[in-house]
Amino acid sequence: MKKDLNKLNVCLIFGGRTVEHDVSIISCFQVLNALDKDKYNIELIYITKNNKMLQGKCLYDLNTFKKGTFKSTKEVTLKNISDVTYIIKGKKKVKVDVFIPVVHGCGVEDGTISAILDFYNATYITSSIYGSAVSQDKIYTKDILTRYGINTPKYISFNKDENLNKIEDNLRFPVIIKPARLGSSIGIEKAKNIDELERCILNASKYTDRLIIEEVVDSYKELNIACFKYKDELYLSNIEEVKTTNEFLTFLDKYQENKKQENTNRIINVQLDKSIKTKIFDYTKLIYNILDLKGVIRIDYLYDTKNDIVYFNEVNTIPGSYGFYLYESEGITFKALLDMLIKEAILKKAKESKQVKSFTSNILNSKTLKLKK
Amino acid sequence: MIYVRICFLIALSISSFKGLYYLLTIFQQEHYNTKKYIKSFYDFYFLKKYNYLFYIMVFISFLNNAYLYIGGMIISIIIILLKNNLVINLKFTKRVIRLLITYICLLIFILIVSKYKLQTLSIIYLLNPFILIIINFINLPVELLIKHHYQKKASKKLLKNKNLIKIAITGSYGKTSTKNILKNILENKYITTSTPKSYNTLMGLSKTINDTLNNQTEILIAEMGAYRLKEIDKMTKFIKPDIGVICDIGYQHMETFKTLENVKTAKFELINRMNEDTYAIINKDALLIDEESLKNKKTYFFSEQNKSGVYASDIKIHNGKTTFKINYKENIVDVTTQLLGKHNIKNILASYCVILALREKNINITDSEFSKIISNIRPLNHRLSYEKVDNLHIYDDAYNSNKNGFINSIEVIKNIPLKKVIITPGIVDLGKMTEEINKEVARHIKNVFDDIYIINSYSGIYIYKELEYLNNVTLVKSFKDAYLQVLSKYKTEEIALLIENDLPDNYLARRRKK
Repeated sequence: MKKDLNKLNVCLIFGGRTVEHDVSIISCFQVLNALDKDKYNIELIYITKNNKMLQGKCLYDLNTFKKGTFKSTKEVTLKNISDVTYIIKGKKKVKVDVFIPVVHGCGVEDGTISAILDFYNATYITSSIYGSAVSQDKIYTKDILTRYGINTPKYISFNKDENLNKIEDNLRFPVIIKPARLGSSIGIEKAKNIDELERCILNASKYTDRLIIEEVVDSYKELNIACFKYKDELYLSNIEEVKTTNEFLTFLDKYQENKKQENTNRIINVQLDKSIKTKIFDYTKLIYNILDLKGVIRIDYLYDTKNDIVYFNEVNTIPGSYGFYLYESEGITFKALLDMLIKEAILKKAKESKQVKSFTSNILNSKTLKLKK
Repeated sequence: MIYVRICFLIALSISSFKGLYYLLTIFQQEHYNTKKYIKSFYDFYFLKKYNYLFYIMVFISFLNNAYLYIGGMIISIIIILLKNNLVINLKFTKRVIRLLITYICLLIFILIVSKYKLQTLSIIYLLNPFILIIINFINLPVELLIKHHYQKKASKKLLKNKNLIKIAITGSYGKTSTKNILKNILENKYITTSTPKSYNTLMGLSKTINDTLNNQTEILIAEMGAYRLKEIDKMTKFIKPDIGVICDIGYQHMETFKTLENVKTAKFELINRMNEDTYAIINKDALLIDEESLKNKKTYFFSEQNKSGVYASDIKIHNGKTTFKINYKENIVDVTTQLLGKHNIKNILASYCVILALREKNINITDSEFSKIISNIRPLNHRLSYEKVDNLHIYDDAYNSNKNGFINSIEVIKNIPLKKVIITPGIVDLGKMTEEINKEVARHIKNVFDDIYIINSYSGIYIYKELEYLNNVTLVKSFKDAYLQVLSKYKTEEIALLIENDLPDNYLARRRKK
């Protein structure tokens, strides 16, 4: 990979101390393959499960990850020199124009990576800390979105030590118990009665104290849609229906590396009533703006077929595979999608850099400043 | 004895650095122009206090007395503690480092040849001003090679980006402000890169291209500054702009241009060198225009004074904002701006012309997008930027260096319902026109300000002489002196303070009349 000084320097960041570590490796390689090599010089930063940032030639080979040995890699850090972000590897420094975070799950997708990049004044294509954090916590998300009139199944926040009566008093069975901040179906279980409820909560609290408990929606279809903003316009993708053999999506269901959609679990361009489609489009555009998101996101909805109601389920600020498969039928290739996201990030950064970030304060120079003892 | 001698030698060398630092700073500020740099010699030899102490040390070096040597070392401590009083500090660029390396090499060479005589060393230090010229000369081939290398690299990059749209901006004033306005408008929608503030030379242009241009860049905005003829021609040849803007033709850099005719010729080198079918954006109110050069170009004229081409009407100033209408043929665009002064109206008109030209190149900024962004643009630092510091409403126009800007700023301050104070050293670099133009400026200052502080300088003296009969005019040594006086006079009272034209050190040094 010879470096051409005329090309933009992009850096993929993936991995991290998260339960979805391996998934992000797969997503990353998909992005790596799709990026236009004529336009970009590509750097890779792999974050280990111990949150060490590594670089090395072997990282460009998927086998390295299958084996799990990173001997020829070197640890790197980021640095901001005159408002330009660099990767520092020993004595060398490499300028990065745009970062492409391909990280999934709590611990990375929740704004942690965004925060690090913001700290070093980097340009990156995904959502900022705020959108990421709010989207990662299902309770925050629903608290905010319901305020804007978006439908969601009845829910309560629940701390594992609280009284079970709180659940009984507010919700009707069956309920579904989820860790508020984890992703990808871990710790998620259904309970039909109090006993099952107790067991589920015990199970879920292995991962976290903070839980969200929702009423289960009758006979639903799970519908997903992706969305990104480019030059002030929102681009919605196709709506896909995700079918599953279990009662709800399991971890395994979600992450099958299948480029061609032979996987009958997913149906792209599902047949739906126009009114339902419109509802989903409207909700999606509204949510993108309310949560101040950036880059390509995926929103999951539950469509109650019996009562004809669309419920918001969750937002993924960095969807698996960047949701590229949802755009292909719309005529936007993965390559083009990435080009647009990169460009949008640069334009947005130019806009933001004009705003004041800090002041030379007069407080310290004030004649009346005295510290109280 | 020999140890005392060596210690004295070291003390002598360290003390000489103070002077060397000063000389390097002046040299750098004068862009390594030998002629201009030489003008600082008198000041250096006769008006720098620490140098007199240094002469004593030189004298001591010729006497072989241990006690005197020790005395000399004490003197050197005093020299080191004295301040250089430079307004702008030396920037340790690679070029400066190359000069220092050559200096040290030359020093060592002379020492070896003269067999390590202490006296030789002190004579060299005494001749530092001249030696700097010699080492700059020695380094010239290397500097030229480096320059050439960077330019070649940048040229290659430009060739690779065939779809890049290049906008070149020149003119006696308004370049940076117009560039700033255009950058704000374009960079929200198109990946844009532009030369930063002080990079308006061919080298600066190359550096910008090398550092920031890539295959994703859609628009390049290059500011072109010149002190003499043929400079803009070279830059134009290098970039091959699609759109060329001449903001204004006026009395700027008259010491090298000498005549207004030359200024016109220099700026119009841009248009003359541009290819056919490129766009020329010209200020119709400019003092001189080269009509010939516009014949095979698509031209947009803008005017602030007359109703022709792209012009402004219904100009109103209210609450720190200016509103006006941009007229072009039958089209009218409403504009509101926080940028103060009539000259900024001109700059906005020029930017609008560029937008019109860009539309023909498939870069589409609508009228409403234009208005919206203009209303959000804040003034650049020191270009009539406004800041409130405690009771002072400071209008900082320190980077202004021309008569029109000065007068426009006074216009802005005139109507403010507060006591008004001005600090200025006058307008520099006007050559033979210095007296006339500064006197004219003085007449504009006369009835507007409650307190007038003139910084003593070659140009300021003309303003002072015009106004000294008034009882509110004070001649000060430096900006700092004036500012301190203002602070002590107006402790809590709210005033409007206008700061016009700041000065690099060399002009402060040239206080004598020609």
